[in-house]
Amino acid sequence: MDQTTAKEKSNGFFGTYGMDLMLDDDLSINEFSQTYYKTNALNAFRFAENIYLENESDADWESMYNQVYTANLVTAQVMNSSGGTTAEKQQLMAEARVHRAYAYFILVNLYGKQYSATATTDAGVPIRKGIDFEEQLPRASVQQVYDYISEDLLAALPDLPVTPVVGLTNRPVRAGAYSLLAKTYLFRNDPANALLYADSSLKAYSTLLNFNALQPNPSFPEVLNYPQNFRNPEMLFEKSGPMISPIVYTNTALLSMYDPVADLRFKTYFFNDKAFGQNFGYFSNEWSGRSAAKGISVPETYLIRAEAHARLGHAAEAMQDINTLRANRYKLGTAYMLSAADAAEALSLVKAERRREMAFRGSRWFDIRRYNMFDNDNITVTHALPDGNFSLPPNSNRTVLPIGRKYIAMNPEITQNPR
Amino acid sequence: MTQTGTERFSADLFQSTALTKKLHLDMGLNFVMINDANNGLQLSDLNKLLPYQQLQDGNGNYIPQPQTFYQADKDALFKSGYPYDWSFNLLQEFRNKNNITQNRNLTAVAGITYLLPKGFSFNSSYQYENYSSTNTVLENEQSYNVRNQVNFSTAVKNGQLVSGLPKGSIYSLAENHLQTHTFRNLLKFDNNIGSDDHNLSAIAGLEIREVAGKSSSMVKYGYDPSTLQFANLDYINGYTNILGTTSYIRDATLFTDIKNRFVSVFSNAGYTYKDKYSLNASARLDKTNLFGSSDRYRNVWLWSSGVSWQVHKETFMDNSPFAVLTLRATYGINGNVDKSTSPFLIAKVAKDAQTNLNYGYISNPANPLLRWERTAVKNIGLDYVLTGARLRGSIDYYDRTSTDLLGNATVNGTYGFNSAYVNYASMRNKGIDVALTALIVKRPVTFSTTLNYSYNSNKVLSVDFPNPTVGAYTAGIAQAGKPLNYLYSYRWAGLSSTGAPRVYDKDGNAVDYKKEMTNTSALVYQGTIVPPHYGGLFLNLGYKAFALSTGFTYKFGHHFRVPQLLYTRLFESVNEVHKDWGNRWQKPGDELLTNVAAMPSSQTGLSVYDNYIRNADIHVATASNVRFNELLLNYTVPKTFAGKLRAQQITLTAQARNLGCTSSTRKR
Repeated sequence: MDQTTAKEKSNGFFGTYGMDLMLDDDLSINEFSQTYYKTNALNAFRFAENIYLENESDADWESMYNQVYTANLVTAQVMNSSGGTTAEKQQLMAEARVHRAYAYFILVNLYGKQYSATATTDAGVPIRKGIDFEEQLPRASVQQVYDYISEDLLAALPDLPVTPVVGLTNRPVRAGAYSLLAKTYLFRNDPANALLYADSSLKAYSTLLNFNALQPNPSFPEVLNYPQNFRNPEMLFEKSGPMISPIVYTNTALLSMYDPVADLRFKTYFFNDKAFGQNFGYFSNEWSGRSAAKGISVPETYLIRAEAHARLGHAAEAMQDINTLRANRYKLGTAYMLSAADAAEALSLVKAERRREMAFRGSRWFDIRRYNMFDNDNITVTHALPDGNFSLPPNSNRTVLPIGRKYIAMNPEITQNPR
Repeated sequence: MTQTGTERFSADLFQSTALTKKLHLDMGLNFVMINDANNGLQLSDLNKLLPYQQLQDGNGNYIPQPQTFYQADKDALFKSGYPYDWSFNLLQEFRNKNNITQNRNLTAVAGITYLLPKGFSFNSSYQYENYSSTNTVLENEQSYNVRNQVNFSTAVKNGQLVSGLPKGSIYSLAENHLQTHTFRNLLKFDNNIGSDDHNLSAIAGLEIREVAGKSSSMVKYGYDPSTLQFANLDYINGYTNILGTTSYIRDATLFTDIKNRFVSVFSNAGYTYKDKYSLNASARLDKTNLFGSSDRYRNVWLWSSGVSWQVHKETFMDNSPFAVLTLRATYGINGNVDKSTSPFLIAKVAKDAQTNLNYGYISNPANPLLRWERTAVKNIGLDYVLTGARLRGSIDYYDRTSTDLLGNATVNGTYGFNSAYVNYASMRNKGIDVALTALIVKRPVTFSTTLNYSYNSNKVLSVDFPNPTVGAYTAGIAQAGKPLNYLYSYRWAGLSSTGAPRVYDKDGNAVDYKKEMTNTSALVYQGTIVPPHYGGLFLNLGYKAFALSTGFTYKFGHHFRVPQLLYTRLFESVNEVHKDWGNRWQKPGDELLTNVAAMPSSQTGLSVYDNYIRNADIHVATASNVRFNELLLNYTVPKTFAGKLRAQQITLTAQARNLGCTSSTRKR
């Protein structure tokens, strides 16, 4: 399961979703970069009724369900396979469960409503149990999908190795499974459990990469060279999204949240395109092979724990986690410490830090849905394009992606999301 | 010279010996060698050219074409010390191609026949086939691939430019070997039973076959064709490439090893009464290691049976104009299996480019229900020759019902795969084949003509994973009740006042591209893309030692979509611009004059925009055509002269192929 790229019938376990980037407010599109986006991506950016034509495949959906297939195959057959020790088989079984849990977590958050009090009746996604091509595919409720995720993760924990190995970060470890569990509880607005599991994760592994040690890129010295995702010691469980476009410009509102000199993330994540003869601003250039990892990482685990603390009223503990992270992100000798007068301020500082740290890392879109549902943050996403502005009000139907009509046509028991 | 071409050499030896009166020995040897040079350009290479792109300037220097990076950056990098000039030029590529394949095929056969008493005979034969091919590709330092790979592997390290790959040519070698062993035993019987009125001929046989294929390939960097030396590479430690990321040199060495075994048991029996009425039956059982899951799918009996009546041998036909008139009818079950699939899950192992580790991946999902394709064939036919042999021919009618057809079916991506090679449909084919040969003039000039005509109509009976959407209809995906390879189109409603494409919905209202059509009843059926009527016409003219023959083929009644100006492509690249660009809608009023849609101002709804254009009924044209395929002139050297060269016969032949094609460009 060390596959990094799609091959023949299998998408690989590195692959993950990408359409979230077209829905959130990390990215902006201008007249120049517009031509680099496929029609489907622009449909999503416009919050259109349909993203794909009725016969087109949804790459995110298929990438995740392809992993579910392989995970189902492993969990059904690995224990009866020949060769290998029982411990090795149990580890593979546990790894498959984590991959499957991750896939359903992404699916239910892209194609189902944000978890809320109505989770038991809100439509989630089909839970595919077998590996045949005849299975019925009714949508399980959001609650059922979350229960299935927890069940897989809890069952996997004992058989996983504890800490990640640099160079093999795509293989699930216990610290990663704990962190994913913590994330699912945060998404369920259950900060007590989120705190419990984030704490377990950080107790197992808490290495942060100090950005002061990053070297300039050999070809573009103004950019700090961030390690490749599978060699990054902060990575607990690596997943990389598809390339939506080779040129992704950053929303100026996001850029303005960084201290461009002291915060080394600025020089690491973003790149001025003057070197290419353009003058539009900054982009996170997937072109350089530095596509942002979307899996589970140590910095996100700190952010989960900080948010859980803030939601439970522990302002000081929340700020301690935030400052631990910032100490590794700010230039040596600059002031990085933040403090909060109360839990409410702590929560808003955690949210801002989360946005800075997780930019282009598959987090923002889900966070917008979460904050609008639980905190009434009232975030309206507005996308500007040369042909007009497109707005998405909080908690509206279109915060849930439509399910590919192709899949519904073949299995009508899959119901469509109202648009 | 740089070109694409083929050289062929073949030799044949055959020896037949009667060792005793009853024991015969046959031996044969055949050798074929084919050398292919594949150094020409493909159409796809030309598609990379920009409009008005010049390949050379007035002094014969190559003009760089866009490739990989921005040209000014590439020039700057070369100036800063990068190993190679990074410019791409198609003509330079073409001039430096060196891709050669040599194929060798050796077939050896040996067989003995032993004649037993009472019409029995036993034959045992063995055939060995050895095929091998060697493909070599030498890319020198002029070729872009070498220059690009080496430059890309280069980065600044401690103030110095360091390349991960060595300079020099890249040499690729691929070897392919295939060995086939076939062992066949036959017991034959051919004799009259009782009286001369009853004749029985029968064969029972057993065939065992093994097909073993092995291949290997390698790629060497820094290769020197004169000393045959190459660079040592570090596959283990990575290097830093121009983007600042760590890369590994991929060891392109590849081995494959495939073995397939087949066992067949077969029998065939024919009984003829009074030399006029015949009954025929045959059966065959094939076992292969390709199907493993259950005997139900592994062991399949295929059989056929037939009757024939030689009508011209009847006394009432004594004064008829027919020298031969035979009626035939057969019924049987044929089977087909595809070796590229299996009921088992097929996983493969490969090396990951990023981590340099082995990984497994699924190349074929498990399909325990995989089964043979089966076709039930009904056939009725008639053969005739008129007295004097001026006119001869045959007429056949067939009706074939195929079940469990194998194909790449669209499956629900939620299952994990969006297509799978499965038994997915059943269909029925009906048709007639007519052949007619007439000898029109006999002497002194001979002139004869042969006309073949076939008609086929087919219908898909059922589909296992039905996909009855507008997209599937316009893409021609199999639907129950429709012929295979059909054409369904949008009904074109002209351009809107802003030049956007419009089509009619099911109620006949013109609909804008902003509304995507989802009801298949809005579409119009426009026939099939395969010809229902087809055949050939052959004319032969002979005079003394000269013979002239010509061949024409014809196909009628099918259609195709004429490629249109599509804007999705134009938004992505401008390599090819459709000739209709000049005729597109540009100002209000143009919609009355043109059907070429305007360049859309935004990409909103562009997929539908283009779909309405691509799949509009007005862009379907007839594909009917007549081809002048072949002209052959033969001269037979006089026997007296040939005899002097100890040859039985010498023939000189001049041949021309693909001489012309007429087709109608009329749109529907």
